[in-house]
Amino acid sequence: MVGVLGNNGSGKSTFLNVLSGQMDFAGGYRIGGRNFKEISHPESARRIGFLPQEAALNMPFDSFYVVLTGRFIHSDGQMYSEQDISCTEEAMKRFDVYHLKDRLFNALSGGEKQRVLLARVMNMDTEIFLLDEPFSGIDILHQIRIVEMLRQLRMEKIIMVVIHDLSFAVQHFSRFLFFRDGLLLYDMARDELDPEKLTDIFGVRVGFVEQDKRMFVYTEEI
Amino acid sequence: MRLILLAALAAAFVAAISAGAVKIDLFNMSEIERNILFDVRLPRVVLAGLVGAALAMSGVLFQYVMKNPLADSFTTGVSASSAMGAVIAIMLGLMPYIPLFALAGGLAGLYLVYRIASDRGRIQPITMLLAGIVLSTFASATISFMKFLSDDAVSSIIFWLMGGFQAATVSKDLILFGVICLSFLVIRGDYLKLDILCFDDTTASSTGVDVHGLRKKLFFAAALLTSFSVGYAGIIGFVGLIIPHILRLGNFVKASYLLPASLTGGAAFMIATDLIARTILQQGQELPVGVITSSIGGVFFLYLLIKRRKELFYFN
Amino acid sequence: MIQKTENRIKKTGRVKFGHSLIKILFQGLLLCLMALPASAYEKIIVLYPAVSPMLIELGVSDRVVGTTRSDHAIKDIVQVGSHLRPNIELMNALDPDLIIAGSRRAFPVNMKERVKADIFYYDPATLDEILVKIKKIGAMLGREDKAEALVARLKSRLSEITPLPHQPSVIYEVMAEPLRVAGNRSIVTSIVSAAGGKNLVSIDKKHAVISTEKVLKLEPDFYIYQVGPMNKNPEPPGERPFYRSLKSKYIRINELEFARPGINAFDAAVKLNRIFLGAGDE
Repeated sequence: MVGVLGNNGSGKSTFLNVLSGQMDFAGGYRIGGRNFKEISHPESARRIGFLPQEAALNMPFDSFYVVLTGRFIHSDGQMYSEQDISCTEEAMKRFDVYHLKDRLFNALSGGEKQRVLLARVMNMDTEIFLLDEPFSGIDILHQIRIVEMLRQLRMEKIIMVVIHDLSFAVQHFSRFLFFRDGLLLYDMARDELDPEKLTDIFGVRVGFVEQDKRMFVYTEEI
Repeated sequence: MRLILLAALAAAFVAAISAGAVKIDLFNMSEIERNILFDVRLPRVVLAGLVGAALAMSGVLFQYVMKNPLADSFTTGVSASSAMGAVIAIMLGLMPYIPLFALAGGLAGLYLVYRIASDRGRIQPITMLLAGIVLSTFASATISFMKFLSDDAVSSIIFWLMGGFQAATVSKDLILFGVICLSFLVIRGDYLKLDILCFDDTTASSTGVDVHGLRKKLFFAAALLTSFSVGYAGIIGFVGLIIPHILRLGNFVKASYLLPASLTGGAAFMIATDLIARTILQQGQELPVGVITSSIGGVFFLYLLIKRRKELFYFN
Repeated sequence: MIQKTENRIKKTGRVKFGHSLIKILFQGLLLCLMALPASAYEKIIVLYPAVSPMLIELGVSDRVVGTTRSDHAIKDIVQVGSHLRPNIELMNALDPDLIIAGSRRAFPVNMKERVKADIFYYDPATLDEILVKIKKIGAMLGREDKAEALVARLKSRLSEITPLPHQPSVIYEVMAEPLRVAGNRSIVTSIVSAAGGKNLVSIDKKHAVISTEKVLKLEPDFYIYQVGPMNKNPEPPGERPFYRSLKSKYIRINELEFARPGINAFDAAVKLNRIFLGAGDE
């Protein structure tokens, strides 16, 4: 599970967009040994589940159907199967949004919408998940539940998450990508984290405090 | 709900067949009455139904293309440019070729809007809406200019623009039926994709839908439907806008429900309004059907806007 | 008219002298203004093309200073626009004293206020009304004798019409799509009955949009369709699928000969009578 961090406009979202094939790019990258550019469009969707930063829906669908559409790549393109429906129910339960299933998606609160969309992406059941600020607007309780769920998947899946809360990231993630000015500056494991480098990246003084075998992060203006 | 729509269609059809300028006893017809029924009334009722179905479906498709509930063949400029083609035919005195000119005008307008609104094969909905409005304005101005040039043909142009099904023939019915079937079959396999197209482009595309290819396909199908309808029946407003809206409020939200329902609903609505247009006046006189669709449709739509604002709000 | 007004002046003068003095003066003034040009209109604008041939017959075509652009009866003359949208500036520049317009709709009151000239509305709905109008125009232009002669000639033209053994029924198509037919108030109805026929459409309008069903039901003996500016190049009715069962005789005629209520209408009646007769012979 990889945390992608950096200030606004540092290139995190662009990075995820490029990886998911939503944006043209020069150069290349490999996915499972294959050049990504050789993977055609529908197949790339079958391998990468992507949660964009801002999603919008302009049809009054209920939440259940919104989550169900995540199963499109697994369907025959004509109809969702029984299995798609049961997967959707399970995904909604896991993300604690099953009770919202009959409500109109656009009538939900911001945080509820975000959780429904997360359930939708996870419902795609791809090997790679790219999540752009999945926790925005979500309450602390659900943030913790969701991140725990993601951690359980970390053995089978590649999960890349854009996140701003440094303290939360340090607690739950094991590997970090740091961006500044459109460049990927560092790729570090948790034990390689260095307050000086972080200070350089974020432009604020960053310090670590260890207590009860837990790492806390504090920040202050330079 | 589907049953209600089908029942409405059947009721409208039966009513439209049994009533008209001339009273016909369906169970005891004279020679003349039989001729009236089969040569005039039946082709006309069928044409009304087909045009209604085509306009409602094109409205639905344009709304998917534009991601905008207000899109229809008017806002995309296809209607106006079809009408421009037809008016040119009237001006030149080429009456029998009106449908052909309308089709050519519609497709030319479509191509123009498409070229303006697409960037490397990707349709930009907002640009398209703007291009459509500009094209509509331009086409309307051209029509006004042509009206001005030909004082004597003016009433012909005006009446033609208001729309009607008087010139219905079996061959027109068959061609339009073919066009509708073709568009419907082309779109039929894409119901799930259409629903996903209602998300933002990034979400839709990363879910596995070829957003831009699909949009192109929908756009061409919708333009084809509109051009043929305008060519055969003139400009008939509001159907492409209100029928899909009413259906969505009636909980036909998913494409697999909405598209077939728009065909049935559009046909039922159009048959009923044409029935009113040709029976409301005495002595076999007729009103232009566009007048009825716009007035009934407009009032009903206003009612929905006021009564069910909340649902409409959640559309977007 | 002058005598009448003088009478009225006498009467009112006797009854209420003081109060009526201003009125008398005002009326006298009005009278002068109206009477002066009334005797001799010298600059006429014709906004209704059917009138021009009439003025030629009355020998006053040299007094016409302006016509509409679709009027070609009088050559080399200023065109003041179309009959629906004449140009006020062009008209004023000609300084007319009489404007002959079609209907009140074509030349409404608000336009009247903007041109300093008398307006004469020419909108006859029957052959008889045409004759009445000719006499009126003759009187206005001081050509009563010529008007009488023209009326007599037109009447004698009508006497060429041969009575028919039975009255043929007619539907007259003004425009093919949408189908518009001539109603009661159209000159066509009068032409048809003068020719010995009967217009089956008795709607009290000039034109009516009617259902093609109605046409089949009415079963006219003759289906006359005009070709001209209103009906450019219509599909021949015999080839329209919905008229397949119609047994009527289709007659194609020129719109300018039939649909304009002028001198031509009398020729049209005779011509139509011949057509009815010829069809009967077959």
